[in-house]
Amino acid sequence: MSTEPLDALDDYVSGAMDDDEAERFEAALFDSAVQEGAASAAAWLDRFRRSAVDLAARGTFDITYTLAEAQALIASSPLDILVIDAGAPPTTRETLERLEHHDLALFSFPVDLSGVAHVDLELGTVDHPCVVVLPDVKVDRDENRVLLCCEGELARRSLQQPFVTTVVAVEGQNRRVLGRFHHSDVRLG
Amino acid sequence: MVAAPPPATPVSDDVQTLLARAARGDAASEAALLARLRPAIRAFALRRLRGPEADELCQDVTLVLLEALRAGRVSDASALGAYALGICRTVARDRARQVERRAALWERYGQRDEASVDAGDDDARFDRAVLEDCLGQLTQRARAVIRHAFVAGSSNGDIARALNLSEGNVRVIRHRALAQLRTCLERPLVWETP
Repeated sequence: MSTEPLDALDDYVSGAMDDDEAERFEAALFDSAVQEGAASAAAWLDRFRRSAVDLAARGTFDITYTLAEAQALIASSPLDILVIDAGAPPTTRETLERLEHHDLALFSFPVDLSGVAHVDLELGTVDHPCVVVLPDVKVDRDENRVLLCCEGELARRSLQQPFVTTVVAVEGQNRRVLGRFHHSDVRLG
Repeated sequence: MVAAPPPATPVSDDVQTLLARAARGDAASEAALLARLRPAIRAFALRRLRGPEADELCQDVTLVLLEALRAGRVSDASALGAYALGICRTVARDRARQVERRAALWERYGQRDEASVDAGDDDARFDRAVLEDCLGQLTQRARAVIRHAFVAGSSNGDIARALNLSEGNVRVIRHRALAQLRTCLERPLVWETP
């Protein structure tokens, strides 16, 4: 399905669509729900909304935290959170073993953030260090840390390969590496 | 402003069969029909209401629809969408009187069918790991807009004020982010791609 029905549905739900158009849209909305079932735009948006609410309740919608926010999450969450201080060895194997028993993983990357306006996180492998970019993440300038919170399942599945996280300062067109963390360098917290 | 969904195509025989079975009291067929319609009912409710009130409207409509399906009031599959929409409009118009009717419906059907009325709230979520991976690839601003819109249920106006954006800008960010997420969520986790 193209994204166009999704745009129209979002305009309908958000109220950006005027009432006359919404009335016409509703007939097609219900017909497509009957005909397309789980393939309809409405089914996708409903599934997304419920999934987003679920992720937010678990604390993994926002991806990165300040130290105070991370501490508040640890204090209030009913979930088991493994804190991983990305500073020194030992090994991925131990990390994976520990992650088996935790719902969330909180990675703490120590970097010098003085004078840095924006930070990207590049996630990748030893051979391909930039597979995914998390753009303009929230950082803790006072603590000189980037705290990345993710589902334990995502961490487990990601760390099946030699995983590398690179913290990059973004200054206009310039990108400066602040720190690169191989997961053989992970120290369990 | 925007295009409507594509024109209706003939409804499959499956829906016709489900309707016939539901009228004979087949619970699985009822559930399958409700699962098809529930996202549209929820969209209808979310246009008008937020939070628990929207959930309540969804449940009320679902109960009325369930009653109609069991009574065999909808026999033509091609009319089912319009029938459900009619229920939505009636229930939404009649919210005040609905309180009494709601209690009666819950008494009659709700206890036995709580699972089917609320079904879909716990199942059919996206893989959390993949969703988080996809959300992480949005800009911080786009993620904030999506969070306000779909987690908090804020209006575009409220989002615009909270994030110091224009309402038009919020709308564009929502559309782009949803398109990006839809594409991303159709792919396997990047780390598991051969």
